[in-house]
Amino acid sequence: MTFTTIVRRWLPVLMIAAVLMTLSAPLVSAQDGTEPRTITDAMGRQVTLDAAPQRVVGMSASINEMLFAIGVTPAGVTDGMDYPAEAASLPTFGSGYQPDLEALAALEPDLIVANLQLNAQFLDKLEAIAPTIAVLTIFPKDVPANVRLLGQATWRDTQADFLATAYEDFLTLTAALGTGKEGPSILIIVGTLDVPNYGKSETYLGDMAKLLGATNIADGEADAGPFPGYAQLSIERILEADPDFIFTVTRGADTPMAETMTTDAVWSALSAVQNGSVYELDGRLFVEAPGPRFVEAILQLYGIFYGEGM
Amino acid sequence: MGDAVAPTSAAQTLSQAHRRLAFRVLIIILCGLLLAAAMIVALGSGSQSIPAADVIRALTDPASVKKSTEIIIHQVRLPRALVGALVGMNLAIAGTMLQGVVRSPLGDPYILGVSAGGGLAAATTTLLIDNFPPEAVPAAAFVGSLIGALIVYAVAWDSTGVSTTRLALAGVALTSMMGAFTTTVVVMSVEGGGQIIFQWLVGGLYTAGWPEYDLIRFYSLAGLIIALLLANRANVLALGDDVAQGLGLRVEQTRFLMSATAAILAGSAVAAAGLIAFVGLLVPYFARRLVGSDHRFLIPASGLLGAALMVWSDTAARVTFPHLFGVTSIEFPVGIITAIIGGPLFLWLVRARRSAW
Repeated sequence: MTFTTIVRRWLPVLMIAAVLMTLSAPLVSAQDGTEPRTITDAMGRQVTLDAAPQRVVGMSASINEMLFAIGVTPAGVTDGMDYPAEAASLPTFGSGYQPDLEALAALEPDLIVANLQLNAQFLDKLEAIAPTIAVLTIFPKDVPANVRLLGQATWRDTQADFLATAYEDFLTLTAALGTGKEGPSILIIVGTLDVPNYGKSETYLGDMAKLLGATNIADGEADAGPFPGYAQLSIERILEADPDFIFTVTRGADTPMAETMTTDAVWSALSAVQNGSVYELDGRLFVEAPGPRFVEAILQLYGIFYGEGM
Repeated sequence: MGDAVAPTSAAQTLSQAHRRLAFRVLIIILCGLLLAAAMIVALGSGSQSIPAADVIRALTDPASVKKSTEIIIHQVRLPRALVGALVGMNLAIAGTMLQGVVRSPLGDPYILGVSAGGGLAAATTTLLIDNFPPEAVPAAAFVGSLIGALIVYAVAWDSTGVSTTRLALAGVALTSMMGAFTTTVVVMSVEGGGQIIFQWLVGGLYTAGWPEYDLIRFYSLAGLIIALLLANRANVLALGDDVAQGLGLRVEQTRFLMSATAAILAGSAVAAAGLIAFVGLLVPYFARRLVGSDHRFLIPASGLLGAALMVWSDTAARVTFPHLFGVTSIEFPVGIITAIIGGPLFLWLVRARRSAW
């Protein structure tokens, strides 16, 4: 076959193909106004979202509070979430560490925001339901960073940026308040007096206290127990250190530790117990839901440390 | 008269044999049907009530059902049921193999510390070694299981063979030891979070998905095929070491191969679903009562029954028990169910067959 024969045979086909391609080009490049985005989450995973998600689900109270803060109402929340008031009437899907995957799938989310600490083991099961990004919120300073990430993932960059900047400024102010102050010494106990976990500065509450200039008597001890940032202390060590303030978050007993301490022969020897400087704190606000309400938490701590000035 | 009698009795014997064979095949088919029923119930049960028609359509024509239904059936229930079936099959056949090796009804991967060895290996590689590839965990569990089996066997064996008592004691000791090490590993690696590791230690299919299925199916298939290939040798071994040797069987080699097969099967099951007790003990016991001790029938029967048991137990664990106790927001780990069924049955076994132990 000669060259011209080939061309003559194939030219019509090529021309039709060329016409089709140019016709379809607008179809390919025309977007519905939103470009797909690729988010890099806390594990370094790259997740591509095609359009602004309409049904977002957060796997912990902390994440859902951050979503509310940027104006996103989650499609479903974890059990027992009662703040903000709106959250109590949203559909639930179980706990954060063992969610009912069927109930979660039934909510038909188009974005799942997972808690890296709780959900790492079954991220692939969450991925099977909807695109999933994992975030980690341990310290107050993680909150503005995660708010920005969530803003990026929900196409609410502007709201997120406003909010994150305000949080960062507040944290700068707090740190400034804390420096140069002769801060009190504190002890943080989460659990019960029989099974205590002593929080160090590497916890949410511990970090807030440290920002305000307090020193934590558990710092420097090795991690112990199922969650990072908590140590074991002997009661002798506590008696010797005699902290100025004791913060308790009672989980697993009906009577708050602050009360049981006053009747316990050993604990009542501490000066904090005798001076009435033992405070039972709200578990959700100070331990379990690190999030936008750190502002409220820090204000409360400041009031406790340095007087009712706030 | 003599001539008239002989052909009849030979024919009778032959037809008896045919009847037995037909009966056994029938039993195996029934076990298969039991498994099929278990799978169907598992696919239809869950916290979200999905009508049967939708379940069928989700499997045959996924585009015709709601997206959430399709995800629930395909990504949540189906892989979980499949993994459950494979885990059950693995443990049951491992139990059959081990019972052949130790010639005792106490041959069970959990009791003999085989599962515990696999569990320790899986925990160590997953939690303590950075970037250990997940696909290699069943292989690591296999090595751990094999070491566990060898230790127990070596401790319990002497020139008279393996006594049930020594086996039980060695198994208990090894399981406790390996369990303590595993707990140590778990405590040392804090980022897992207490709740999830507890789930794994008790034996759960909560995290079973397509990745776990892909992980286990090769080992299940390999273990099943090797077990079937060893069936004839296992039958000969059951006659006793001296007789078997006299018949030309390489006794130690056969025992080692059977133990290794049990280790592959138990190790991969532990890697996929954690420590699950009693399946390897009870299923072969019942399978023997149904199809006899011929391993060519015993192995398929055990495998199918074990799979069925696991799938039924998992459905009970995730749907029935929470409803029964009124705590629908949590899921019971399937290991608890098998322990609830298996524990009392085992105790009854010890009592009822006390002359044999």
